[in-house]
Amino acid sequence: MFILSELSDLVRIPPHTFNIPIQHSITDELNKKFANKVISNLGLVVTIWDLLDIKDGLLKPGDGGSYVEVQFRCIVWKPFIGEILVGWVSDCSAEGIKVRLDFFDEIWIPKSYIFENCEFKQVEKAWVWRPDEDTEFFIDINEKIRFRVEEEIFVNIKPQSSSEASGLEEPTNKAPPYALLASCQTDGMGCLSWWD
Amino acid sequence: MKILKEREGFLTNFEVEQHLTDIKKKYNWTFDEKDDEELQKDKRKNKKRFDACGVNLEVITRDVLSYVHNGPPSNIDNVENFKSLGIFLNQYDLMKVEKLQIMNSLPRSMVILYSLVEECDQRFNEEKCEAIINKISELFPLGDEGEEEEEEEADHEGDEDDSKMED
Repeated sequence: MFILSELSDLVRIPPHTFNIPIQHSITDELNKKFANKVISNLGLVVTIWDLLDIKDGLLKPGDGGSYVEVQFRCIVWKPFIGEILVGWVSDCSAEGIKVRLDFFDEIWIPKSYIFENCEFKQVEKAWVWRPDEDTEFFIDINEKIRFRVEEEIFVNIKPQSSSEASGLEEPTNKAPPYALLASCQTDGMGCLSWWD
Repeated sequence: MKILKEREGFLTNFEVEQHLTDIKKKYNWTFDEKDDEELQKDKRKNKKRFDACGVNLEVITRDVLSYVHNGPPSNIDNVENFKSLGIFLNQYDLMKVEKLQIMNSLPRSMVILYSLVEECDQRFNEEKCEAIINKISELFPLGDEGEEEEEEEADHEGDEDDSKMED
């Protein structure tokens, strides 16, 4: 679910934008800085909603830009524990199911959180749910799936080292800054087509 | 950067969609051919693609919009219907988040409604639940979507046929 969060930040207004209204240049700078980024322990920022307060600009010797403190509200995507969401299965493995939304990929349903009587079939690479002896329901890749959010995990990401940034060194497989643990255990969860 | 208030308020998917659509329109962004056509028809003079706010905003706007459009509320076409659903839900003793979830996912069947509302069977009797679902189908009829799905399926079949032809 999307929420509104109130933040404050010091923004540098570059001199070449002095000719446009300050609200516009501040919004642009804030969008550059925050849009599509994860704020640790908050969530994924989508965009700026509105500006609440703009303080007077400050100058620094040797810098043409002006520094302005702004209070603003932004749209943040932060599902709460227990929220029911719909996504696509992007990967199935013996450990669990990986789910993605259009704008967020890091959702993981571990095997202990999937229905009882569920098992992973290596041959088909799919999870199979057997509510009773004779029926089999498949959870396949690219299937639409409904799940419940159980836990959110934030990881503090260190900045890239200079050799990584210049492409000399492949970044090692790092944990994502924001990931969700989900479950698929109650009535109504699982593939959408099952419950129609 | 300082976080002053972590959660100032909730937003429904519909509100987010409206906000992002406004941004998209204002900045002359096009994400598919249909958008291109619409921009062509637009009579405004300045049609330059605005990019001073960074490419990340463009990416997230495109992705969130496609998420919202793929979700159930895509058939919310006017604000009035949306408002009246909100007012209708007010008469029930729902938690704020439950109400929001109902408005975001527009449940069409009991199972889904039960999963959204905690202990639904104890708090509401069957009539009330049915009333909610009926109201949703009344305000946002599903007719068109069903046809679309059929069309899609037909397309897929067509694709398969094509591939067979090539073989």
